[in-house]
Amino acid sequence: MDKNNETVLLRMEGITKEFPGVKALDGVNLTVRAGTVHALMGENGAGKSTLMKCLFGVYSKDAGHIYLEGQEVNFKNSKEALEHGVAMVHQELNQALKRNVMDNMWLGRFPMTGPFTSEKKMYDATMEVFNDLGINVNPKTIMSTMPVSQRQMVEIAKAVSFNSKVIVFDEPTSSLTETEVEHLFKIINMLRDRGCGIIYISHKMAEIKRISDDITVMRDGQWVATRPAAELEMGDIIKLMVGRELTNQFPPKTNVPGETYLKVEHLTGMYNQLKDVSFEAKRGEVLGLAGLDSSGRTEVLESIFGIRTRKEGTITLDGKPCKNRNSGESIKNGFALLTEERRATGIFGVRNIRENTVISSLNRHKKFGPFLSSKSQVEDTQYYIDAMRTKTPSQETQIRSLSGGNQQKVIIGRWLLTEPEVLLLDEPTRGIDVGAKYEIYQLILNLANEGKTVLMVSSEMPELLGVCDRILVMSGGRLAGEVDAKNTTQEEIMTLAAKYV
Amino acid sequence: MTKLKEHKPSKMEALKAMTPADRRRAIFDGIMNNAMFIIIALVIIYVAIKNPRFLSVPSLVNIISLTAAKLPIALGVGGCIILAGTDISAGRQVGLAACISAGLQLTTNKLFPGLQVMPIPVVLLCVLVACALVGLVNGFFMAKFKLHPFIVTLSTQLIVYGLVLLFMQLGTNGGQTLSGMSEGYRNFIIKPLFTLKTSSGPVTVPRYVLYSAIITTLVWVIWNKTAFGKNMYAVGSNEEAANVSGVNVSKTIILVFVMAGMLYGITGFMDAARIASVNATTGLNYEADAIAACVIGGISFVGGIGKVSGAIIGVLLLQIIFAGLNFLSVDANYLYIVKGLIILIACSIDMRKYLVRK
Amino acid sequence: MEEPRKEPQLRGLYGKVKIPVKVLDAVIVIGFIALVLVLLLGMQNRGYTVSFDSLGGTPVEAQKHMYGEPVDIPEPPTREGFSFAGWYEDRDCAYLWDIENAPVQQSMTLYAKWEPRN
Repeated sequence: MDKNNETVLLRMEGITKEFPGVKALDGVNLTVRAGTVHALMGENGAGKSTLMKCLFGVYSKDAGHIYLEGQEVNFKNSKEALEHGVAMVHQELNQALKRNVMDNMWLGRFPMTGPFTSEKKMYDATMEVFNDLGINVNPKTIMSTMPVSQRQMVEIAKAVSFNSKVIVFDEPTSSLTETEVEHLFKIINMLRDRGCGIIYISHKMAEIKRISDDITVMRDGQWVATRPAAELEMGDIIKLMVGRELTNQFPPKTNVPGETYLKVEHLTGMYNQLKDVSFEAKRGEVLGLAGLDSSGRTEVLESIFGIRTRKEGTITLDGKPCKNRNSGESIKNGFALLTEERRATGIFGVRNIRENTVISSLNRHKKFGPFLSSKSQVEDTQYYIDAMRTKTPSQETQIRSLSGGNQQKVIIGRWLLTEPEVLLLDEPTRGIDVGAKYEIYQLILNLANEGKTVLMVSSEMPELLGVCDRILVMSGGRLAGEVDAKNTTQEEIMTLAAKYV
Repeated sequence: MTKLKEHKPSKMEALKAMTPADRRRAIFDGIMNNAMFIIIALVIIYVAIKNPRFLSVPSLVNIISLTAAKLPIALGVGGCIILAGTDISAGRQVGLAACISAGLQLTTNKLFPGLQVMPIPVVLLCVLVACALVGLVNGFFMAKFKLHPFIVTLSTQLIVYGLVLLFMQLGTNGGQTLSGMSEGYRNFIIKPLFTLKTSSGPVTVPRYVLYSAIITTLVWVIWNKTAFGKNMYAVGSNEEAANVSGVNVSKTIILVFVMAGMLYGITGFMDAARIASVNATTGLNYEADAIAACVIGGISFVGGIGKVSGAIIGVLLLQIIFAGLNFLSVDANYLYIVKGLIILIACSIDMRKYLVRK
Repeated sequence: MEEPRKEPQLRGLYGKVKIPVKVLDAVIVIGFIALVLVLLLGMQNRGYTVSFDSLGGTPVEAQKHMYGEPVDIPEPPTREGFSFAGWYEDRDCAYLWDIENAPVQQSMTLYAKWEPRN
């Protein structure tokens, strides 16, 4: 294929997007030629979905230009993008599951006979697209009765029916069997041969190598490289994805891990993908959990804490087995869980700082039977506001008006008041500014120095390497490997993370 | 990027420091968020001008007495709303309680022929147990089956109504209105607490005002000074976060509805003596007044927000409006439309308060 | 990375509704206008109706009164074989209505009590 002759379908130039305090995208370029599959790769948080959101108008870009077939465009929403021939096949399909295939295909542009929608016209039009793509699905089927792979086919057919020239696939094979993946690739090849430009976002190296013509790697919101797929090996790609300089932004590590304290054996999830996860954690140790987004790290923490059902598995603390059937029991056994999404499952938004702080340790304040003393609540809260240097006008402030970092500090204070021995932290510094991050690292290391056990899930490599003693790497619900933070490299972790994907 | 929040300026200082556009917006927000109170103040002034006896001592005492009578049910529903739910079975539960209270304390008992008047503590216990059971059913289905509060309490509302109808058919009563309750019972509830001497003659404040005050204080203590109360606010604010934080969510939900049931029971117990004549429709739609009062008083449907003082203010303001319209001789049928509109407006203001923040 | 501040959304019983504040403002204003209109309408047709149910005797006309006024004492109704024994608040004739002094406070029906004449 003569690259120089191919027309450029989509060109994104110098795309910049800032949020308060951080540059999510910094002058990113992406060029997609007609009749090619262009892979977009990068770690979690590299900016891939942010870039796509800018393309589809979900975010308004702060700077840069987008050209579709030479014309500059500025889509306000996905609908507008679709009408101009730019479509997205989402990771989480946005479909009306109770309706049938036809309804989903033609929603918003039903073929009409006079003032009424024409079932026959819908059926014929649908079959036309399906036959064209070799899709074997009855248009009258209700969506919810079909497997994900077929629903995905409908999504693709919908994109094609809009005469889309640029189609973006976001992690398309995460729920597909091998046969279904083959079928998908057949269709993608067909689309490619027709002159479409495909953007393919995925973590699966093998697939990327198979299907793509070009590969663009992003890192920390910046464009790193674009090369033809033939020129890159897996190791090269990984190097490009993680090859950042590790600056010194961590407090000095002085903790010394002691003897084994927590033992998790054969942890298998009932309704999730965890399979036979076993590991040990020591007193005074910071144990990291690395891996890709859906590798099961959060599920491990939630299963240990008892808010996710276990099919199998035992938890032993200092030799004593812990059932941890629910959060109350786990707290009594000395566990604490800092959840990933503090807005959804962490803070009580409309309540104030004090209420958010004392909620897990109300028994400490009981006087005269069941009645709570305000004085001791105020004292406890003030102690942690001071100790963690939480910035708030007063204890009566609603927690939702605090910045993310300060909210996190309040929740950490909440857990410290339960006097835990094992702290399970899920992305403790996500969405937090640099200054507060440092303070939280300091806190974690202090806890380790006091002999507590800390398990920390993180998607930030530098964080894992700078704060943890050992790092467990999860992949596809399994424990892919265990590395020593002092001796490992970002590449090694990334390679393990891709092992069972 | 850390936010340094220093000394918060007073509202007046903040207003002066704003640009004219911001100032207009702040004043507009202020008016909208307090719109209900402004309108009520206007209504009070209007009625007082038209009929000065509206503000006389007998009239005010009447308003306060009615507020006291309607406060426990508002507090019961309030707890459910704080839990981010609702309870539309409240009115029927009050009816059930009133019927049981009356039915066990008739001088000539047609329901249970020959039954002597039961002692007050026994009756009260029966009423509390009956309504607590209803509350238990409400809470159970909401906690364990995760059914929507409307669905659950709608069902119990119908079931309770059916039970009341059947209850009133017992013995030789055949569904008739119950009146003629024992002196002792009536005195216990409505005997004057104290009498004020006014220009228009002596005005009595009945005993149930005191009982209501005691119950309100008890509810305040439970909401603010017990772990259960804190848990209630937590579950209402964010159920998942409450679960992670170690709160027993199911137990909290069930207890809130049981407590609400008992408060409805007390309301019915007092009402039977107060109204002096009870039938199957007693209590019909009481929850509408209670819910309206709660929303006016700042107990928000978003969950996790609300104070006892809010409920008191809400009930008081509603009673003032109704008394005012009464004084103007407005036909009682108009009150339904007024109540409905008030609920819509109050909810809109509530939503607005929650959405708009700097 | 400081996460972007999401738009505040309603929660709790309001569900995940997304209503722009302007719409709420409009609803509030329209609601109040409706309220005032209803009150004005109510003021137009002021007055409470006192109906008299003779329970078998000759009919007595209903009266309209303002809040606080006493009822105009009507001609007592007559019934074959019975003598009129006063107006009562309830059908069972348990609660006597002090027709001379008691002020009208709401729309109501007064019932005639009959005693057999022997």
